[in-house]
Amino acid sequence: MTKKYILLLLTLLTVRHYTEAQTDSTATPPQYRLTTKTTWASAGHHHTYDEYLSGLLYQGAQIGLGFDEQRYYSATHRKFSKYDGAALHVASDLSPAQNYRMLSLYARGFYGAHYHTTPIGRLKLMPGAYSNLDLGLKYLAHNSNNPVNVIANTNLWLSLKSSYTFKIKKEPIQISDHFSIAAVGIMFSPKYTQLYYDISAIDNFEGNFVLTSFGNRLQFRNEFSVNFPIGRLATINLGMVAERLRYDVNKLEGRNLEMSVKIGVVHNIYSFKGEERIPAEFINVMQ
Amino acid sequence: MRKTLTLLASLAALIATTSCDKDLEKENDVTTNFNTLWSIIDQKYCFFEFKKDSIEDWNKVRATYYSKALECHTMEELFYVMGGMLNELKDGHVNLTSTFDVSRYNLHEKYEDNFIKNVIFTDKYLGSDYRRAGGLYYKMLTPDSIGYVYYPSFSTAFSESNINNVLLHFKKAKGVIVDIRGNGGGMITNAERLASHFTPQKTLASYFRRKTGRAHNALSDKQAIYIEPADGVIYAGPTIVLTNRDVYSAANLFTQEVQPQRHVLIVGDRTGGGSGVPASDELPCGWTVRYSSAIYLDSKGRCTEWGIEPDVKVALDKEKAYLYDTDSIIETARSLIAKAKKQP
Repeated sequence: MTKKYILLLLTLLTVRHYTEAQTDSTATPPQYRLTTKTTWASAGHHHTYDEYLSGLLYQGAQIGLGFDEQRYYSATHRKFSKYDGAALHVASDLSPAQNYRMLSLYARGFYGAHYHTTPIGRLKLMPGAYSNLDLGLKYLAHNSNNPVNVIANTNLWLSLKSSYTFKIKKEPIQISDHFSIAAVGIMFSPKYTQLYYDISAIDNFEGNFVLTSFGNRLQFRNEFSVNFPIGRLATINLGMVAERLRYDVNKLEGRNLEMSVKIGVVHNIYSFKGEERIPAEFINVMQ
Repeated sequence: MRKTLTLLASLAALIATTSCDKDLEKENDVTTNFNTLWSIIDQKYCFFEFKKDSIEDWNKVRATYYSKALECHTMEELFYVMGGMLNELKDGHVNLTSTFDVSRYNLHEKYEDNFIKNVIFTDKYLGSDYRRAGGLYYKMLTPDSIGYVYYPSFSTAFSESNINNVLLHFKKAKGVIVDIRGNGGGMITNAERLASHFTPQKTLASYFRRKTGRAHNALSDKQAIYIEPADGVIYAGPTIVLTNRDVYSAANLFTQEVQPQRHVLIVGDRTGGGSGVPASDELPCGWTVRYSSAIYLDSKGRCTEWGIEPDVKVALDKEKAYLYDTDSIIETARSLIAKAKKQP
């Protein structure tokens, strides 16, 4: 049964990336421009502490679904690439006594850029920055007047990608790591014991959008992954993601941890000028 | 390669060291559960400053009940000890909820009800031919043509169309009686909606204060709450709101919101109060606690946690009620409306 679901998931992910590959192949800038698309799903541990909803640590599991894309800005100078994507996360956590469930749902969109450098051999370093917008909510049904807390924040992240490519039995393998940390941002938060009724009807959001930085909000994310091809059909991305959030805003503390295994399908799309076909040397070449 | 691995290992270590959150994991024992409950109230309860005379020092309360808690042999015993501690707050909005009981402070159990529901459903009043719009039961009383609305709970919603239709039905009435006796509250929005249909012009109805920090006196400044006239039908004729000790929370708020209106009289017994707005938290053992986290003061800045005194205090004549199906409070309201008509 489990194998069926995994097969179905892989099929869905593959179908999506081929659909997008066809639409993208019409671009014809000079030389070539590489776009790397990854469509992924994740599942793993999740725990959350949201003082507004409960003074207890809730623990459970989360699943995610999303895509990200890295695309060179120019076909001639492949030093800069844009980085964007979107994801949807759903988590279900139980109270310590296992009698109440907190549900979290949020969507994330992000957009940024990285600079590419190759300091040593096949090690590639890509420092950069990106911004995100997270929107969602946490729901704890048994609370009387405070059953929901909204997730709404935007941040500027400092980011460092690194990758190393090598071959095993002529097959290219790429290991990579992507570490990012939120430097500054704006976060929505109720005030201490403030109910959403008060926010909308009385306070009118005054003081609910808070400027955040390392002093009151620490959020970082690390993704370690391995890319390996399966024949010439697709490249699989297998990774581990950890994302940590800790804040103390409006006298309310919160913590969040996601640790997931991620599986995705990678598609490298090359755009060429003056070429009718993709040159053979580019097929399955890792950049 | 080695440098890369070192970097990755460092990052993994960084995540591991900051991701435990072991400090947030609480034991499920007597002391932890007791301290968690005591701290929730200590840091989030909003009425300490207003109840200095009636609440003993909260630290002393802790000492008294903690020694009792240590003597408990079962969770059930612990529940009633902790529930007893909460009752020291004398607040109907404060409850401890377990799978087997809900602790509660019954502020008005020692007072007369001044309300017999069966009587208002006799032919003298609603009878069996009453109308119902949402949660509002209503009928034109005869022969004096006085509109009567019975609203048993602010938890039961009604729409703008519902209340508009009710008031349109009473357009030829000499006055309207809004009977909220026994109404233990519900949604604040329902209270404000109903009040807006008895508000001819924008009126300062109450003030709002909220806990802003963990200290007992950390309360926000008073914020004025105005009631705007409703977009639909507004009744500005003689209006009487009937109250008793069971009028609590949102029903108490409705009473204080219409009281400033010159065409409204409050008749019956003092309301039960409950001017706090409750929020929830929980204990490691799985019990939940509800507590007042914000306060509605009346339009003069007074705390109505202990109730609102009626403009005309009337007790229910039980003999008349049981023998003749007559509600003496409704009859008083009818005579007041009749007198109001005679005034210029």
